[in-house]
Amino acid sequence: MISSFGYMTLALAFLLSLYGLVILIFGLIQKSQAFIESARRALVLIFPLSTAGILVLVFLLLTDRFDVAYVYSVSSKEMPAYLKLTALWGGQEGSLLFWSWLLSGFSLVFSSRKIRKESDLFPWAMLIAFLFLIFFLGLNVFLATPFERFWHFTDGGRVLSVFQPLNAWPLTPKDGQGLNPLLRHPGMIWHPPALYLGFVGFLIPFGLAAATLITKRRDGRWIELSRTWILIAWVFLSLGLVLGMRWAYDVLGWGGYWGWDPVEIAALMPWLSATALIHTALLQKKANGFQRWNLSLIILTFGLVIFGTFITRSGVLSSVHTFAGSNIGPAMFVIMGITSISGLGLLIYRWRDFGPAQEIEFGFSREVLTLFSNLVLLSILMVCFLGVVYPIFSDLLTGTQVTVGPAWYESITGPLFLLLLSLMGLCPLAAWGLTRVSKIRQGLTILLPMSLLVPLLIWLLGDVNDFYALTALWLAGLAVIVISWEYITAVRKALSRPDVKLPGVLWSPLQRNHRRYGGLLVHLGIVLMSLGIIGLEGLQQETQLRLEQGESASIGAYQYTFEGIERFTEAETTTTQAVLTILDQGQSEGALYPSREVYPNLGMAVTIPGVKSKLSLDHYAILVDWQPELPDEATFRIFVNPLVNWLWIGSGVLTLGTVVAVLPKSGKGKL
Amino acid sequence: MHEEMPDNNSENPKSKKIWILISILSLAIFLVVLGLRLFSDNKSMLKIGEAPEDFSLTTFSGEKIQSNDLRGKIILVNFWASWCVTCDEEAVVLDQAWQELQKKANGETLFLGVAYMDTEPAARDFLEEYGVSYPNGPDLRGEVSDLYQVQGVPETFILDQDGILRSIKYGPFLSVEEILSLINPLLAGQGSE
Amino acid sequence: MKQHKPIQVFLLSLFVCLSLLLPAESTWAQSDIPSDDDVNRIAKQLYCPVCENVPLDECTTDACQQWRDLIRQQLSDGWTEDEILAYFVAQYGDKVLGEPLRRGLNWVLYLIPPLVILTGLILLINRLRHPKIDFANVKEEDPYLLQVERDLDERE
Repeated sequence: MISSFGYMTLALAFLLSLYGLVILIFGLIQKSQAFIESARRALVLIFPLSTAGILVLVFLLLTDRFDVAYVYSVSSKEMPAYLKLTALWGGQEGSLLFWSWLLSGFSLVFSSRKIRKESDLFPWAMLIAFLFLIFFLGLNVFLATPFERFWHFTDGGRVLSVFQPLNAWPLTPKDGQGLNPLLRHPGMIWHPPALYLGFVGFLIPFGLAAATLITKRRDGRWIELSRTWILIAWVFLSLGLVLGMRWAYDVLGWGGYWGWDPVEIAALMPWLSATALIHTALLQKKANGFQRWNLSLIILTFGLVIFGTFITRSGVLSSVHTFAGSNIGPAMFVIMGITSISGLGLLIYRWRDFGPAQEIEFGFSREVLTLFSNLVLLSILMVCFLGVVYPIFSDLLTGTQVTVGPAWYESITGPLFLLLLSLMGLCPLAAWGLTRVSKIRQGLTILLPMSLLVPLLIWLLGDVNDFYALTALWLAGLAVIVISWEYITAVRKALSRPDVKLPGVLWSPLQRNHRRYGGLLVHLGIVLMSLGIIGLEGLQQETQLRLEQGESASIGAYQYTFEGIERFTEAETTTTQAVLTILDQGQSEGALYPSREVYPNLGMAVTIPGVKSKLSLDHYAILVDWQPELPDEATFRIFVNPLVNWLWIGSGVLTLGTVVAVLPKSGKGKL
Repeated sequence: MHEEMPDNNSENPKSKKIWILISILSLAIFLVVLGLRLFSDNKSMLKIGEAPEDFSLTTFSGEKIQSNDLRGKIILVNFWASWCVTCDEEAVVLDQAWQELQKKANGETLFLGVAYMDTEPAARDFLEEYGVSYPNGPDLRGEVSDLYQVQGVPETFILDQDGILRSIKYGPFLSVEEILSLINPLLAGQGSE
Repeated sequence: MKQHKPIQVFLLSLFVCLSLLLPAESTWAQSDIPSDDDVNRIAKQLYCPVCENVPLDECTTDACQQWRDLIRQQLSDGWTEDEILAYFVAQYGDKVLGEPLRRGLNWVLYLIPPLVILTGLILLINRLRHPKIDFANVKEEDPYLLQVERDLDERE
């Protein structure tokens, strides 16, 4: 059967990775190029095999093969084809297979000519790839296979198995359970693959770093080879996080996008350490400055990727009550232990071999600011880590279950995020400081006072009194002004040359120094995103009210009138949708359509907020309560969420900036 | 975790040793704690045939009940909540069984209702509405439900005269017979000894 | 809106000149029937004990509805915010609080972050070569710094 075929391809890929590991170790001991080459071929072959495996699963999903347990649990007949496709990562087994597939794909990079040329690093990097392939393919084959089918015996007994058991007959349910309705959203469709691409992408720098430590190669070649991959993994991880936020904002219906849930933090932690790495990687000179630090950071990043996977999949962080059920927890724990112990061990063992770090002078320089940004990023990381693991410690040591919620995280990381914002504003100034101190003065005397206008204007015109938010807006304003100033200065410099014309010259900084200006663009993106965060954290306004039809609620100058409610049923899903019209000082601003969808066959209800989005603010309403007995009354929770749109816009700028920084210089074109 | 490991003073052997120690120790503690959490949860599962730890319950009427004072009686511990959909019908059934056992074997059994994550006014209303006559109390700080590893309501545990767990019922009892069929053998066992 | 924590207050105090802008403590009218907003203000600080990681104000289950009703009842009986929070902790355990209490082992949560950040700061400053903060004559021709600058700018 086709599902058994899928299973066989995975089993074969698993065996091949075992073979590859053995023959590779043999080759390393015997110093035999032939053996190493054989291992490389095995590595290359794993990718088509796992691709075949994943295609089989896609085929099973698209053809409604509900006799396959995984298909039954995540798909159903009425789901459109694109949802059936995304059901691939809608459940544990499928998403693990997707993870393995990405792993085998990224492993191909190790076999690229560029890395093969480094004949010392290359076999060890492959070794790392094989270890993780064995682990994840092993999970797909032994512990969480998506190809198990339902069978029943003549006596009525039922069993799950890949192959047909003796005297058993296939059992085909009429329809599947369908994808969790919460996952039926564009944000959730692209969030997992983006996140996984980010997670798994760090395999490449990690493998090269581990190989570097093992072989004591001190010329820093690994970071040159991984640079692009670090950025690619980082931008996917960033997008994954933002898509997750968007999903939470649009679907979960609680007025925010980030609840400091352990699962969210698990994805944020590697992002923080990778961000730190990107910055200190710039400081790593051809010699050996910051090698140790960068090696530590990439090992930390990949360790956190595995840790994040462990905590999201083992359920170890949820309370005792919901723990049961995950059988891959212990396996994930083992691989996490191996990764972190061997990573730390290698670092300690080779610490001396990577020489003293470059001396850096204290002062207002970009290097010093970079190091400070590292400190701040890692401090945020430490806070996140503490908050995630503390409940386990508390439960174990004192028997008290505690919740570490947003209030704690925000009170401690808030000032740290403000520091990051101010560093992004100061950093471009520091670059001038190295060459001509008069420029810093100029910057400080013109740009700093200019930036103070931002909070002043917002305070005067925008009716914003929160001091914390005003400080944050000031720092964000400073960063935007300084980054723009830097760009304008570069354009003006380019204009002084005779052969340039105005529209084209605007791109010239990006072309001439794509890494630097790509980086600044990324910073601009982050600052814009921070506007959305400041808006929601500091300036959000809300009210909850029970309204009769025709009545209205108001927040500030906005008036929301409950016009009515309607119910409709579509494919067994009952939707109750309310209409709220918005008036801004008497002028119509459109309407909000908050709704509740009830999926009776899944026993689930989903609250979908009504959102009206503008650049300055979002109107956001939730239908909290409505009873069929009183159809003319409903309770709403209404939010005014200032600046939230800038979060999504900023993420686009961030992506663009990364693309500019990653693109090879030769292929610059017109951008 | 090794994030606290600084890029620092590594040429000084003494401070290097301290940092190695700190990083290894933190990683070890971290792994041990996670491992304990992961593996102990599976082991400490409540098992039929073993005696759960003792608990105390202060009923809504203010009476203090210690489970270890109740040895020699068959105890039925029922976890319920006023917000639970199936608990109301079960409460009626449980109370009928309780009345019947009172008549048949007075003093040999005790039913205890534990209001799981409930608010006091709602719980009192619930008891009144369904005429529950056996003792009931709130599960303060969730301690009793933690002890019995309650996963949802209703859930019922039956302990024999020696305080040993004899059966667990997930979900509601649907009939008096179902309850009696679990308790009668225990009563009989007492008689034959 | 946002409560100011000590560490934030410390930060804010750096900008004393603007301190006049500090918002007045938000209060709410003590009317007879507490509004949903009054209830949510307290529910926000609590977590639903039967669902995973869902704050009480966002939770849609019947159980949470009851808890909110209880808060409303307590508010109209004249209970203060602290009394209500203390009642919920006593009834349902520490885990209902979104921000752990500052007591016992929980101090770890409040002491470790500043300690680690401070240690990191000290280590970092120690690690840098000794400070020569002399902005007037910034080393225009420090070969290393120029090299780094060139690298950062021109790195292909």
